[in-house]
Amino acid sequence: MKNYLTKSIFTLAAAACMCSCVNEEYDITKVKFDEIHILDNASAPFGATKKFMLNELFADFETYEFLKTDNDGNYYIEYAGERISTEIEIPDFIFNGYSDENPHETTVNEQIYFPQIVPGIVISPAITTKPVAFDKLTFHVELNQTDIPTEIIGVKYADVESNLIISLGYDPSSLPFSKIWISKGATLRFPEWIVLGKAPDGFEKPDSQTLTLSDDLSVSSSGTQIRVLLDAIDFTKMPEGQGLVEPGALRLDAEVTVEGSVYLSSDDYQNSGNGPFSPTIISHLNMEPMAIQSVSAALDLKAIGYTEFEATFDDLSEGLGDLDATIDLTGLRLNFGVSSTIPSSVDISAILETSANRYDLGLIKLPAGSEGAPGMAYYSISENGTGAPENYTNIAVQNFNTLLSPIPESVKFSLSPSFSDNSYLTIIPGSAYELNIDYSFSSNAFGPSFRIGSSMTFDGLGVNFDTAEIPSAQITLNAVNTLPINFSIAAQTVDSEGNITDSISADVSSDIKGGTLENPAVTPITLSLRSNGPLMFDGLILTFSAASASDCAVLNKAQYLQFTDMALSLPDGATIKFDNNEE
Amino acid sequence: MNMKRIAISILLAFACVVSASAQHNFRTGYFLDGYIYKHKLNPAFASDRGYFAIPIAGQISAGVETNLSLSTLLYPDGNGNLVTFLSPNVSAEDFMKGIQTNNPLSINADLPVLSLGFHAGKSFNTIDLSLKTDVRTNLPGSLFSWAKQSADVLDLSDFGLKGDARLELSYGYSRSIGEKFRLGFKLKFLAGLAKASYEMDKLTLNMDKDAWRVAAKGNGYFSAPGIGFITDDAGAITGFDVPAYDMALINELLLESRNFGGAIDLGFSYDILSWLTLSASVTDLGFINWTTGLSRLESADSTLEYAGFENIGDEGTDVGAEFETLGNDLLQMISPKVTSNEETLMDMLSMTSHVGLELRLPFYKRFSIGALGTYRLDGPYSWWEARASANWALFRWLSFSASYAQSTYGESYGGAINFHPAGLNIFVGLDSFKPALNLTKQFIPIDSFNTNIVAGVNLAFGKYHGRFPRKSKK
Repeated sequence: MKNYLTKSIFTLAAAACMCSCVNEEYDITKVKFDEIHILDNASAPFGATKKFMLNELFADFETYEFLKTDNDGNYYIEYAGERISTEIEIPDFIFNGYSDENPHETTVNEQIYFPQIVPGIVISPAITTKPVAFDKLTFHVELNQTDIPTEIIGVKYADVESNLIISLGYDPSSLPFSKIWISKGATLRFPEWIVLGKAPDGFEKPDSQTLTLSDDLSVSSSGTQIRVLLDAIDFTKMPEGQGLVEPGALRLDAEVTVEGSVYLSSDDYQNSGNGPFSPTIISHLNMEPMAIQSVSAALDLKAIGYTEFEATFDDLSEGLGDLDATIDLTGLRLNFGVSSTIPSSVDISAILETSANRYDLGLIKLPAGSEGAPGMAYYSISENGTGAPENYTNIAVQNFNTLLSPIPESVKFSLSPSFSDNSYLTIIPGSAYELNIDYSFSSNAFGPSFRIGSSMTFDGLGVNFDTAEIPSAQITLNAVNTLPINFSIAAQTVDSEGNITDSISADVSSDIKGGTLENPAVTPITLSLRSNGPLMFDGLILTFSAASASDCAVLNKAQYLQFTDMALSLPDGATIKFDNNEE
Repeated sequence: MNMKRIAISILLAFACVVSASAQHNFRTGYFLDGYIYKHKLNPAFASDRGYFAIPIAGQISAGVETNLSLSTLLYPDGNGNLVTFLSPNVSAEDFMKGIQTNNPLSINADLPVLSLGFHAGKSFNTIDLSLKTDVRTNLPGSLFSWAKQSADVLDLSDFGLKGDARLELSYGYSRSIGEKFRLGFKLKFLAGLAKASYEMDKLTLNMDKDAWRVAAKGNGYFSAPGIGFITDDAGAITGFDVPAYDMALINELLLESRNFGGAIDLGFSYDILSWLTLSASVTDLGFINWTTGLSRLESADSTLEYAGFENIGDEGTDVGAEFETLGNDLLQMISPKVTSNEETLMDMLSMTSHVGLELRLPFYKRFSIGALGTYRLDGPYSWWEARASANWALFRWLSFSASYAQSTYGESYGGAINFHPAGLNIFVGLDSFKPALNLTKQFIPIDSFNTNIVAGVNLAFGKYHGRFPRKSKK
């Protein structure tokens, strides 16, 4: 009994001792595995991206026709605008002719006779009378024409094609001869404004306004014509009140005189008698209509549409505007060539104009040309006035680089002929003249205000910490930039559907500095992701905004932006929660 | 199965392994009067009487030695629940206090199939047939530091797993030489039954921001009767070929086995003074020569550096596929490959040495104070212990011992009682009470797993040869 009692006491004591050592806080059936915190400050390398070339960073960068590369791979902008073409046409017209309605008559100033001739005796052959002067013949040529094109507001000179015809004859009733002879030395005088052509046969042209008969001229009673070639009309030599007295109205009033002497030949005798004779000389003057070969005329430029030629480059803004860019083109150059068939050189003032800027490009000398051989002129406009292509003339225009900064809605290119109403052009009435301007903008560098934006999506990352509470994550990287442009970056996360995940904020620590191929700029960047919910995203959208890193940033095909040494770190670790209710 | 179930399963499995296993020799018993298995600690020691161990029950022990504890791994959250050390509410500083550079876990079993001791003249002889298993592993502190603190370096170079099972037939002999000196030795014949070891000579993971670098090199052996590997063309293990065991097959396998070895234990004790005794021993000086069915496993000396991927963003770059390739490469790198199935190995046993000093009170010699130093030489699984004990032989048939120790695994408080009248020897004891001082509701130690629980029932016979002979009636 005692033994049992001892055993019982011992057992109870042992049990009590064991129970007293039980820690009520520890019940392994109540172990909670639903939350663990790991990976504090853990980081994992992620590697390096490929080298993103400029045309990848900025979508379709190279699809723009105006963006080209030279042999060294340097990007430059060359924007060839559409040809500015205009045509002007001067209406055709002629100067009317003139015809006497009544013949002019004159007589010799003394009687003509054969002194040797005895009445009843046949006149010996080949005997002539002495020359007897006839009274000066004066023709009044009066022209009043009112159908001259009104576009012509002044005329200086006109090359014409016409003949002035003087017909000389005599009254047969007053003279029984078959012809009468005008002695050589007879003169025909014309007004100064008539420019005579080549002297007709039998005449000499001792001066510009005079024709002199170089051989005796026989004149029949029915009349002998003298055709005088007219080459031009010099309106400048017309007396006041003549010429183009008002638009459309031409008035000419000229005197043509004929002086000389006549004699008779016994061979022409048709009756008896020895005279004396007093022949009556009958004359007419006609001027054929004058076909105008060319005319130096002052034109009503408005009337012919030759005041200002404009071109608007709308497609420039459309193209560059798609780039989400502010183009600051260092070394901006406008090359243009002008061709003109206008047969006269013209000074033209050129102006480039945007809504923000206006650039007076100065006077352009437009050379004379002709159809088939237009006059050509080439100009290259830049800010510093150097570097023009071969055969181009440099023109320096202050602040020209800012022309396209910001990208204008349109650029207006205006050309204005600089001559005034008193300026005269030599034109051919009835002809059309072409003025063509071909131009292109080019630039091989980008200035400090250059801005360009784009975005890039890295998707398929599949970051899915839906069971982990990750308050923050950091992506550190080095941005290796050989592009001479600075980048600012904004980041957003997207889900697998491409939708932006608003619950995750993404901050980028700093901008990316611009570098060069020789000296790449390496910028440490930290992309901090913070989430107020599960950190789940499938991709990152990086939105770039780039600006020139220097005053003269030359972009090259070989330049790139690359992200290296990428690493993902979890500064605050990860708290993984498990479903406690899972069976 | 959720995490909770997994964890509970692991804990229960761990507890089962512990309870089914024996411990290293019960060191609190080193100075315990009447403890008959002292000769396993020092072959120079003899029991008071001859004994015969009741098979299996002769010495039942359970224990584990590790510095890891439940309280290091689980923490009360204040709401009646427990959270793991990975909980955000557990500070890394608190957690790492319980973690050492190396955190070995050692489990062994010594199952006496037949054990017999008897006195013959001045000598004491033992015959012992035991089935011994020895399993140990080491969890580097770096592993915990990495998991909790996300350290940049994970160094598992000392990670390894080593286990073997052997049948040990021994003969022990000890005798007094003179009045003060006693010498003993034990000869052991060993038959290797199974072996599995894998040591990582190098396994480091440097997780720098710029690159993760893995370096690995490992080697090991495997031998288990009848079990073979299924490998791919590269020798990588894809599975095990386990036969259907029956007695005929077991017999055949045992007969075929030529994995034999030998070992010796040496020890002495010396009474410096009538109340002061010095003793020392070295046990398991020996080897097993594995010649049958031993496979060589190796992970070649290799490094893998992951510095991220190239050309991300390129159309031809599939990050997901590259991650998969990287994972496969890593797995290939650290996975052991079978390089030989006909390997031979002279495998040295893990040696254990003890040095003891016992001071008996000159005026009451039934009470003594002992100091025991133990060192086990076992590569990365080596450990040491310094144990002091107070020992009281209240009667010639009843004795107690209480001990305190500091060791590789921390401190421990032990105690034992031995009831050893004529004809019977019953003992029970612990090398450490500490696990029992703080228990979960399921009686799982909280602060320490590190203990030895020993109990045994043996038949005692023969004349008493102990330190306290019955006084003559004269």
